[in-house]
Amino acid sequence: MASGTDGSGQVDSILELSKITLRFGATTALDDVNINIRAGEFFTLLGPSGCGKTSLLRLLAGLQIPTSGHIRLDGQDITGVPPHRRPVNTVFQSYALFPHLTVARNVAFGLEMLRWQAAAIQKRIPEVLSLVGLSSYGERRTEQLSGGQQQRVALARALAPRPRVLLLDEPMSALDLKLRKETQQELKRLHREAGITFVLVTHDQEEALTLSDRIAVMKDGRVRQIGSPEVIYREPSDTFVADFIGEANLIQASALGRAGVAGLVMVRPEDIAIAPESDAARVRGTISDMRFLGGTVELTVVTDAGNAIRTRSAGAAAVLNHGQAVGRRVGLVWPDRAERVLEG
Amino acid sequence: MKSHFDWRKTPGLGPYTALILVFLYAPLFVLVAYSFNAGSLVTVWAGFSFQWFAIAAANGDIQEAALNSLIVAASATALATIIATFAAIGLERGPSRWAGPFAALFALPLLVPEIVTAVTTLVFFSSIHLRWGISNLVIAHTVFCIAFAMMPIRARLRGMGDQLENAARDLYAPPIKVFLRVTLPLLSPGIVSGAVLAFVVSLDDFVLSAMVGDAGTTTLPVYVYGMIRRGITPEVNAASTILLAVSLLLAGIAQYLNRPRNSA
Repeated sequence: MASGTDGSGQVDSILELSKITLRFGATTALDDVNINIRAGEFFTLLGPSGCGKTSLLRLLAGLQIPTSGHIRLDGQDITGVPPHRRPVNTVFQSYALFPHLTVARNVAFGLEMLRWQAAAIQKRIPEVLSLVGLSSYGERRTEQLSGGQQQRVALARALAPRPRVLLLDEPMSALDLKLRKETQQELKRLHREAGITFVLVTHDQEEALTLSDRIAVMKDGRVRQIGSPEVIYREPSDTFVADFIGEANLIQASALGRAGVAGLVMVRPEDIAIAPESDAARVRGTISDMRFLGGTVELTVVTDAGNAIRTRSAGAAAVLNHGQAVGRRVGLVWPDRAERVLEG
Repeated sequence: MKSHFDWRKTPGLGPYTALILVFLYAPLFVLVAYSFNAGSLVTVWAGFSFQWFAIAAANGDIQEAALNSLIVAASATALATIIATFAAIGLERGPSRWAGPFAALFALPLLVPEIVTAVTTLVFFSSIHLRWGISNLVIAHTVFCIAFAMMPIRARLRGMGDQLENAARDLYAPPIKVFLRVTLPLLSPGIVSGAVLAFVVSLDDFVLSAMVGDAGTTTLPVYVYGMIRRGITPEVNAASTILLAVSLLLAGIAQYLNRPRNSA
């Protein structure tokens, strides 16, 4: 196992960010960010554009120095250490391959700067190129490669020096959907095989859920929640996280007749089942819209209290006799464990 | 909907443009054409001949003037390009609050009338008793060549962005290696075209060279001007044509090296 334990029995952190604040003039890009990243894990910084996730990655790379706070790598303070003295490599969003060098020379760049022996470099280049499936591309110029291939060269180049941490800045945003799915699997495999800590920045919640061991959801320069994909999805800490990750119905507790409960009740669409309009139903309403999504059917039910609730299920079509659903009155049911009360 | 104004549909635009081009370039064509004149008058065509080129090439004074021009242009270009490269890096990558004022300072020689620069340079040199002969001219040329050399270098630096330099830093390159291994190779087309531009500007310069230069440091444009005063023969045309050809060739090289390329 890559991750050990310290004396107190806690899992070792490879990267510790404590009280990180970053200001540009009057704007605050990062506000009191505290994150511990564990050795060997696939950690994702997730959030909408402008949430500060890319700034945070630049701090980890050393391309930016925080206004205050500390970054520790393997227990050592690296807050002000310049990028070329950090055992951390980055896959840039635009790949940033050197256009004047061949694929092999791009991969060798970091190794040459670290003054590896020529023989060791010559051995390492085919190793990493085969890791990303580009064995026969060493002598190509980077401009001759497709976007997906360039991305893999960027990965190989960043992995070659065996960094302690690999930083990935939205590496898949320039790829089309099919290639993105393939690349996600590829990343997962690389993470397993390389045994290196990965820190990914993305705004794509699906990508984050698929790839990550843990996710930090960010908004407006602050971390809103850190946890495993399951925890983030099932137990979001606030309405922003609930809404940003997957789809969520947020219903006023009062509309469900919960006396004494303030705030919003969150239920995921797939946890809601259509039922007859009986007393057992939690809410009743009229189907206002039906969308056929292939494997599933999405129904929008407007409750008598005026809330629009979305449900998604595989069986709904059969129950409702496709085509005649809209306008029907139904009841909605869900189990207690599917709901979560969030502060408004 | 308002109809969109399209300046390309202005009536008479085509003929008007043609007239301007004729006005601009007809004198050059005439000059070049008469450099191949067999006769000894610049206005009467007497047949095709290369003789004036041969005469111009054999003229010892022209040779000396051409040599002076080359020495001044080459030295000024080398100095100006080096200074311009570092200045451009400073302006594009340095603290942004100084970039504006300093960019204006560097561009000043482009705005100040050359005669003013020439007179002040002359006065300045004589007041500090600087009599280094041709080196005086090199210094004067270097100063205003910097502004020209810096334009393509700065444009290329800006176009490159700092992504690749950041990637190099991330891959363990200390600042000096970032410069030598990434910035400089990628910047080289801009540097070469800046150098060519500086060379052409220096080679063609008249006002500054006439003012600052003395008897031993006559450059080709200054000499050609002197020839005209002694009476025009097609030898003047031939010398001018050579100067024009060299300038065009170098300007073409600069354009070619700095052409926009789409990178995938």
